[in-house]
Amino acid sequence: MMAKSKNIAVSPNEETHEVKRRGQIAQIWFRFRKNKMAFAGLIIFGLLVLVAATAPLYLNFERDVIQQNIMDRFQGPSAEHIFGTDQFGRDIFKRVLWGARVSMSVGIGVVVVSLGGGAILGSISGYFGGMLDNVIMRICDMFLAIPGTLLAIALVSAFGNSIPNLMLALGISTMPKMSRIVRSSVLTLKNQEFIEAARSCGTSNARIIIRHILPNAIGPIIVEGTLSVARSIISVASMSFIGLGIQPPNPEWGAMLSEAKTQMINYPYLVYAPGISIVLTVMSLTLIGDGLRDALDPKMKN
Amino acid sequence: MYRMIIKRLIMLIPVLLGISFILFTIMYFTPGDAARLLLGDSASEEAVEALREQLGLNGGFFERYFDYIGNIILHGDFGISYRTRNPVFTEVFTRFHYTLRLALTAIIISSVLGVLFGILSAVRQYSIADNVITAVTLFLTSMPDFWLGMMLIIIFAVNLKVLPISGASSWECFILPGFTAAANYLANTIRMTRSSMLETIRMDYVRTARAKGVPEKKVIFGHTLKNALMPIVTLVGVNMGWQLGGTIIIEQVFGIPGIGSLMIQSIRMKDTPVVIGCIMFIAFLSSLINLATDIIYAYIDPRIRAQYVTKKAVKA
Repeated sequence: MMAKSKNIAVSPNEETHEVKRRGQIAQIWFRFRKNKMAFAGLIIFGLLVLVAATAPLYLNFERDVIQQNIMDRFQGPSAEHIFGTDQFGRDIFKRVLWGARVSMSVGIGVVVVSLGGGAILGSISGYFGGMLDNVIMRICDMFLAIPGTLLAIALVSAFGNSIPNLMLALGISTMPKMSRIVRSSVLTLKNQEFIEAARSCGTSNARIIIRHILPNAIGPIIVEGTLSVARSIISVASMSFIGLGIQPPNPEWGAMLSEAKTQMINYPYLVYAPGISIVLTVMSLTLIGDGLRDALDPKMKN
Repeated sequence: MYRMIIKRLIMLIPVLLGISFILFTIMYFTPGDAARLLLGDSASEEAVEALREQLGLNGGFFERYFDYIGNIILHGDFGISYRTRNPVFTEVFTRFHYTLRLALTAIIISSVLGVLFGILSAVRQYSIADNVITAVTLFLTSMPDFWLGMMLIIIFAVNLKVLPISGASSWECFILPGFTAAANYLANTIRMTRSSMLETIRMDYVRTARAKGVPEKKVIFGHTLKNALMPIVTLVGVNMGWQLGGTIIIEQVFGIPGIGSLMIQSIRMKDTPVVIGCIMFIAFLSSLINLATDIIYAYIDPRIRAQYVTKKAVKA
């Protein structure tokens, strides 16, 4: 993207000289910091996390977020209510702030499920190969042929409607993609000398995968994980929007939009704040993910 | 070439069977009873039991699954909808054309605009236009599509009153949903076109063309775009497949009675044959589109065509 050209502009002498003395993580951080867009993303995301984490300090869930206040319904944006109030008289600004907690934690939960499952399936499939690989990959193909949203809808209705089940359903529906990414990084590693060395020492397969392969394959997995959190936040919001995700009055951003849907023609301001929050969060995560990709692999520049 | 096509078509069979099995399992073990949902809470236990018997809901898991699959394989019969008692085939096809229209509108918008803006972005790399396009791309990919749809409704239907709010009765109704569905793919197409063009524009043959005095327009469209087209075609193919299954939520926003709305209704009512029928149909279509994409490759790129020919020659 834009900032990349400037990375190249640094004189080669200076960079090699400086970078040589840094550890690997410091090097990655050095490259990441130079990418202005990615850094901006990190700052925005940091602020959002801060807001989400500290929300209980200045907001009372029952009183500020849930309690209905019919007298104050549909008040447009004003000094008292920056984003106005909804059809139950609740302050949208406070709900959006609390929503950051819900949306982000569920989004991250989804990725934990899909990354966990994907890492196990992908590394088994890539490492052992043969029949097992074939079976796992063909099952992944089948899941990949079903549109993701649909699979998630079917799974949610199978598991029943609750937040852990939602995370599980969305996690499973993105697991095949994750398995493939892990598998391909495992495949590039498994025939390298250091793996062979470990094997010749009599190291067990499980230990080789956990201690030697996964740490070396972690780069693309982290990048995919970050981008996946961004996509999951959108998926969670979409599921809540059609009434299969997080249920009102819980202030998840998609659930708020779902409530706003019926009122949107008369009170369009209800739609702005939750949507912009989603866009900001997803955009910052995308920038971080793209920046990490470039920082982890400086050769891959388009 | 033909051998490849036939092989790919045969490979589809196990995939579709697998999908039907996965979905059947999910639907079978889902709590809730189709007969009870159909008759409502007030119906007597006997009436529900009779309906269960009539719909064949009483068999065991394998008995019911093999019944279902057997009917498809032997008679091409996808069963009847529990809800409407119409054949699943009719049910799917009366809804499908809405989804198809929406998907086609979206794919045309995203491909045409995507390639145009992608070329602009690549040819004027690092210019203001390029930066603006890159920023808009980022914005488009970060937006949930249903929110974009709501915003478009507020702007164009509520405030400007130029387009209908919802429905599917005329072609105007498909403009806003089309743009909404296109947004994400538009961003991907712009990115892909840009990077593919940038890669090709640095090739020696492009420099040669410029050096021998070919007009810039011809260099861009004749020499560069033609060679940069491969990944773009793939993306359009993949997009087309995903569009068909990905419009569910947009259909909900704009009240389009397409296949997505049918599926959501059916999942809620535990109408298993319709759910499996819809998803198998979409999976089948997207696989066909993928195959078509591969065939189009061969036409665009003689190197790939040669690959198929040599493979065949070696085998024979």
